[in-house]
This record gives sequence, structure tokens and C-alpha cells, in this order.
Amino acid sequence: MNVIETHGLTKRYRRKLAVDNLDMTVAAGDIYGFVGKNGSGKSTTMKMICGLARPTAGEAVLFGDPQNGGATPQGFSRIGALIESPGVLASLTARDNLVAKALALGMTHAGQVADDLLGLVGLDPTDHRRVKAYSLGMKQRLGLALALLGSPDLLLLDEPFNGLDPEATRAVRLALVRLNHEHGVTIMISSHVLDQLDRVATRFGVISDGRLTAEFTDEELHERCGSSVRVRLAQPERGLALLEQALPRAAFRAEPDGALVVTGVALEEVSAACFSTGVEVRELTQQERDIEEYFVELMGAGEKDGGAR
Amino acid sequence: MIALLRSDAYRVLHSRWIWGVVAIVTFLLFAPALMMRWTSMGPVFYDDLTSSALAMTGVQMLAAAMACIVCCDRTDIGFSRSILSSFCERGRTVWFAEKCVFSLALAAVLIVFTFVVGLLALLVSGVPVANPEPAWQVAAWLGCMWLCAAPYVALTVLVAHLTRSEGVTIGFAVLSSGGLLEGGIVIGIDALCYLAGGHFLDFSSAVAPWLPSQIAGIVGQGAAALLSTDNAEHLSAAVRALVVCLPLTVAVTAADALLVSRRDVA
Repeated sequence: MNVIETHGLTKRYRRKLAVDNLDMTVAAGDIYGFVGKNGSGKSTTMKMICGLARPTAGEAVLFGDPQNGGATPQGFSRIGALIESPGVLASLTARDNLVAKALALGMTHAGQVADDLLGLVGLDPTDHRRVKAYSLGMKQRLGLALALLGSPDLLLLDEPFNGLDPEATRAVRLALVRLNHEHGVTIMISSHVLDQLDRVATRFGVISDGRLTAEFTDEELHERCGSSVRVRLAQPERGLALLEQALPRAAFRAEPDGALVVTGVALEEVSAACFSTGVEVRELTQQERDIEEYFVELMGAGEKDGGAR
Repeated sequence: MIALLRSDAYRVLHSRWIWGVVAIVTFLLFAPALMMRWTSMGPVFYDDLTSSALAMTGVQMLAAAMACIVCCDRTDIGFSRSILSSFCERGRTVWFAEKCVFSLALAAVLIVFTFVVGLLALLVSGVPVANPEPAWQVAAWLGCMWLCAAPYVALTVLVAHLTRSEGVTIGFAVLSSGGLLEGGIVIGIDALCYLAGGHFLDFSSAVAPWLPSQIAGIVGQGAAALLSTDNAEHLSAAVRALVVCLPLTVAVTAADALLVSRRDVA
């Protein structure tokens, strides 16, 4: 089942077209990485999905229910959201923030629920400091805990890694993976921290200038980025000629520093070819294509296409 | 609605500003009473409770200002966003209505609190009341005080939700509950009538008895003035408060819930 399905989702703010005819699907159990530059329409899309903004055209169907978005009989949506900034009441303690939201959702044992969630995101339930004294990372964790209240089936997280130190980033990442694996929570994350996103996301969507330019799985991403072999030879020109003969399936690219980048064959094959042709090798390494570079390419492609709008 | 009211009550009770308001109101009521007791410079006796013994002027303005704080907590938009994302469409409409209802309930609590603290201060001052009104008249007076504050409170919540600006909302709360906004609008209409060939002040003299600020002025004169029908309309100010303030409050609350909830939250 698709948890999110958008059909021609469009949002126009006066003259600016923030989201343009966006069709995307997020299946149940996905951790969907939503990637795009600043102002590309990520947050607006997420706001429309969770009902905080009304689409100018199109619709977002949630949990396969076009009428009620899969709302519970009590009238609560099954979504938890952390959009833009962590929505916290700075003059209250972290626990009070959570209890206030838990009471709004009609929960019994609000205090216990708050304590459990604070523990989950690595905050101290007995900390009596007001939230205004918290660091950005701590506020971010509290925002995540607020989004998790009510055990949502879908989490929408906009830049959840912002302001987190490496330890907190890891803790949040692991918490998200655990929620996904153990509780089956579908998660949609927008983030600029691509290496973190790459570690958790199972599917990706790239948005550029309000339009979805690509959607692919984690496996597809790594296939597309693929691995290559970097080889530095003592005599590059002669060596290239010999290797081309020995490896007819491979593609060669010369780097500015004189090294060769070989794609389409495994490291072992390149090594064997060098040995059999008697080419003197000074360096032989396997390298992955930079995922960040790939995403930047995709985001740039959308902008070029969108230039005519 | 009940869950949302409980949540807002929890939020307000755990905020510092509400205790600041409690401290200020208590100080303002007790300080003169203590001065009177210690210096023996106060009146020999008060005529009655509602017109002279209990000073409750400015309660409307304070209620409107509190509504502004409730709806415009500096980071409230983010917190509201977090709550609203957990509600379906109908829940969002209820959320907007609840903000009005909670602010009105808070105004009622403020009026009752001010009354009780005022009574205690009266006891502390040691000044007797010559002719205290019967309890029903005092209750009617308190009810009308709330009725007069209600439209300003509801309008302040509406302005807060429309503008999402603390500055604009607090400005509106002060100007409207002080009667300046009403006065300005009425004078403006008078000027337009005059320019259109009518008589200046015709409009304002026709509508003045029905303006909430005018009714609030009469409430300030005490229960006897409030219930008196000795006026051009032959209607007591209490009835006029019911006729004007109650429908206005309901209409503003409905507009907030049904229209403002249809806007983008952020």
C-alpha cells in the first residue's frame, strides 16, 4: 500500500510556483529521502501532505484514503511532523512541551508518555531547564519527540539532522531506523545532510524548482553511482593502449593528474590485466562515485529543464 | 475540545507570564488596601460593592492582552503546527474554535479572580460597605463584565490568527478594548455621512448606546446602573450587552473556526 500518493500536487504563492504538478509515491515501510536545494519546494510539499497548507491544484492521498487521509475515528491524523523549525514552547520545559501536546491529543498517562519519548530521543526527563536554554540540537531532538507523540504511522521530518552534533545525529538516525524496522513507521525525511540520508533512506525523490526530477531506490542509487577503479601507471599512454586491448568491456577516463578511471569491470580484472600485459602499476584503488555529486547533478538537471517556465 | 482546553490550561499554568499577571493584579488590589489600613487615609465607608468598593476597571483590556499572549506565544506557531499536523480537517476547525473558547474562559477566570482578590483587599482595608448589593446583582454585574470583555477577546484571537503578528495583535487588543478603535470607526463613518450630505454625529448618537465600549462604561458604574432602564432606549445595559456582545462573540468565534482554519497554517 502507498502511504503517500500525490497527483498533480501544485502550490502557488502569488506569483511564485512553489510546487509544480508533483506526482510522488511513498510506500508503506519506506524511509523516503526527499532531496532538493533550498527553496526547491520540499517543505511546501511536506506541509501540503500533512494538511498545513492547501494545494492550489492536485491532491495528496494518504493511506489510500482520499476522503479522510486515513484519519482515526477520533479525528486524529496518523501523521507526526517536524516541519522547518522544531515547534517548541521555549518558556516551558521539554517535558511540559510533550505533556501539553499529549493532553491536546487526548492521551491518558501524558506524563509517562512524555518521559518515554524524552528517553527515546536522548533527553533527560528530569531536566527542569526551560527549552529556551537548550541548544539547537536539543530543541531538534525535542521536536522529533513531539512528532513521535501519538505513535504516528507516517513521520514527516524536515531537516531533522540540522544542528545535531555527530553523536546526536547518529542517535537520531538509529532511532529512526528502529522506528521503521520495529514499528513499521513510514518516514519521509528531507535533508541536506546527504551522507546521513544515504545511510537511512530506502527510496529517494529529488525535487528541483518545485518538480520531482527523479525517484529511485537505494539499490538503484548505488547502481547508478557505481564503483570504478582508479589506476596510476608508470607509462600512462602505453599502459592505456595495452589495457584497452586486454579489457574490451571497460571504459577509460583520464584524470587531470594522469591517473586512469576504469569503469565496467571489477578491480580484480584490472589487476589481472595489468599483470598479464606487464604494465607497471603505481596505484590501484576502487572508488565509489560521490553520491553528493550525483544528487547535485540531478538537482541541476531539474533547474535547466525548468528554466523555460 | 475538552482535550485541547486541558492542554492549553496546562500550557498556561506552566508558563511564567500567568503568575506575573496574578502577582500584578494582587499587588494593584492589595497595595491601596494596605495603604488605607496603615495610613487611615481612605474613605470612611463605601456606598456599595460594585460601583465604589471593587475597582475592576481595565479588566477587559487585561483579558484581551492575555488572549494575545495565549495565541501569540513567540514560538507558538511551530508548536501549533506540530499539533495541527496531528489533526484531520475537522480537528483543525475545532482547534481554532478552542483558542477563542479558552481565551474567553481565561477572561472569566481573570474576572472572578480579580473579584475575589478585590473582596479580600476590601477586608484588609477595613473600610465598611454601607449598602452591599444582593448576590444576584453582583453575579449579574460580573457576568456583564465578562460579556463586555468577550467580543474584544474573541476579536483579539481572530486578529492573532489572521496576522500571526504579536505586535499587531497586542496593539489591536489595547486599542479595541480601550474603546479607541470603536470610537475611531464611528467617527470615521460620521465623517463620511457628513461628506455625503448628512449631519455630523447623527450616526454616532444612534449607535452609541449599543457599542460594547459604551456598555462596558455603564458596567463600570456598578450593578444599579447596569440594571437600570432609565435611559432613552428603555433597555438596561445588561440586556444591551446580551443583545450586542453575545452574538458578536459567537460570530467572531465562528469566523475564526470556519474561515481562518481554511488558511494555510504556515
